[in-house]
Amino acid sequence: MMTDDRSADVAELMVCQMSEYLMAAEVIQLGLASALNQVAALLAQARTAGDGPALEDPAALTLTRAQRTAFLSRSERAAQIGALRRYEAPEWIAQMMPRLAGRVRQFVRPLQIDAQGRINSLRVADRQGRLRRFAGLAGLAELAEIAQPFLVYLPQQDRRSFVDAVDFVVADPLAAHAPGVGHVVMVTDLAVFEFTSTGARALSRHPWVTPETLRERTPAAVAVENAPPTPLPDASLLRLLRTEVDPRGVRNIEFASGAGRREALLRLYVQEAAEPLP
Amino acid sequence: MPSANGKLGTLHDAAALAAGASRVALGGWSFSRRPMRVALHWAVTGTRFDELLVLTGGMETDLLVAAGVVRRVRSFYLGMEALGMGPGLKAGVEVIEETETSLMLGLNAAVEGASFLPLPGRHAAALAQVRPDLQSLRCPYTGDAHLAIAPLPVDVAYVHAWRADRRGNAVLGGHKGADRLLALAARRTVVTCEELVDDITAGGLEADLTEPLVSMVVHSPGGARPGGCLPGYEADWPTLLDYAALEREAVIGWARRQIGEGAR
Repeated sequence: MMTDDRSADVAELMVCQMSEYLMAAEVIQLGLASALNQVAALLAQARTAGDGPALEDPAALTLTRAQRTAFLSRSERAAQIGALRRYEAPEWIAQMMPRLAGRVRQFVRPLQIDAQGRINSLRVADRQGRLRRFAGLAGLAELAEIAQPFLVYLPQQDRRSFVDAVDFVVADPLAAHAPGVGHVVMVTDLAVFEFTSTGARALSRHPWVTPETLRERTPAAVAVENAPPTPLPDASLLRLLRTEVDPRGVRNIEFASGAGRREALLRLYVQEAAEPLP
Repeated sequence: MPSANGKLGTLHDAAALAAGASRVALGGWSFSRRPMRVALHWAVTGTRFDELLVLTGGMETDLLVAAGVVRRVRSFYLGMEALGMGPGLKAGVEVIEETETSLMLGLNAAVEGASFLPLPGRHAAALAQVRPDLQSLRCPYTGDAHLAIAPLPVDVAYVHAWRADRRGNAVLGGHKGADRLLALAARRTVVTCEELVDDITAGGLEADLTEPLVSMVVHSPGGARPGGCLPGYEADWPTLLDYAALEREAVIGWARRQIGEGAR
């Protein structure tokens, strides 16, 4: 039998770290257009052998405990595997979510996050200073109130995505709670950060990232000095991720861009189409 | 107009109901159960209306923006998710920003006949900044600040269903979206369907939409393509990717080809 003894790459380190923060949730929301969050959620579920969080999957708006592999192009069908219920959107948004305060977690990928942990998913200034519109307000303000900690990921941390002050505040997760209560955790391709009312700091720096690179790509108000190395996932966790949770590499999509991304999406589509799904 | 055969109508008749409308809503969610055949028809016939209301606006919204069908879009999320932005949204459009909650409240206010429903101010800081038209008020019981969300009545809602009967009872299949709420908030609702059946309850099914809410039924097999309509078919990503890569000027020609291919 072939063994895969490659050490973890950046996508694998990120989803393993992200799954650590998801395992304690009662419900994980998968979110739209969020490949890394999906893989991390499925990994968290697999690590708890199905006894951990239930998954709310917006691809079919289901709640499920079924353990399955990650899908992107076939996510609606996959989301119906073992569905406990298919919700209508108004039921989940207006009736279920408000009841999940403190029990729900979800990694979101914002356009920008700033040193105060504030999130922007709506408008970013281009190089000429004109505001360009992106995804929208969605339900981030509501999520900021009920998700504790509020979880963020950035596949590419740079000075455009992690900024001194966001161009527009869509959600302020620390301000959504009483002083001293709010907590934001962010996993990026460089490090793991936390934000509290007393400030922001790097909890760990990924092994291949130099202190200079981290400092250069992180706002000055965020403390990055003396961050210990992020622990690499062990062989059994990597095997679980690579063979059972994400054998087709959905996790890699968020690191691809341009023509390479199109090719990666088409390749994934073909691989997923070959899989039997109920 | 609907024929004597129940509420059965043609795609042409159904699509024409939107011409000049103030607000049109499209059902479905993400790439699931979008009434794409209707949207393609509008794009190639040059039908115009003022406002498109969608919860999540994806390819159907991008197409209608690119083709100049709609003047503005009301939504809480725009984009083709993992596939990025298409030519319409890249070019830009007037957007009336909503949050998930504010859009639900507006539709519910229309359903209930309320002059407004209150959105707690703690959820509304960003919305208040981008929506100066929204009035604020104090709760008479707690004194807390709220935004007053006005009703969002819909002129015509279009819902694509897996299965329907001639009377307008429909089983959605796949993602349920907010289609029932859209139909409740709409003056008229058109159901396009994959399968037209005599007995919607066959096999123990119950209707998601029932006949008092539905004005017209159109049999439209493949009517959600290139999106998906479970349990029948899934989204066609190669075609969606081709669309996302188009220049805006090429969109109407692409829509014509899609209609032609669907007709064969």
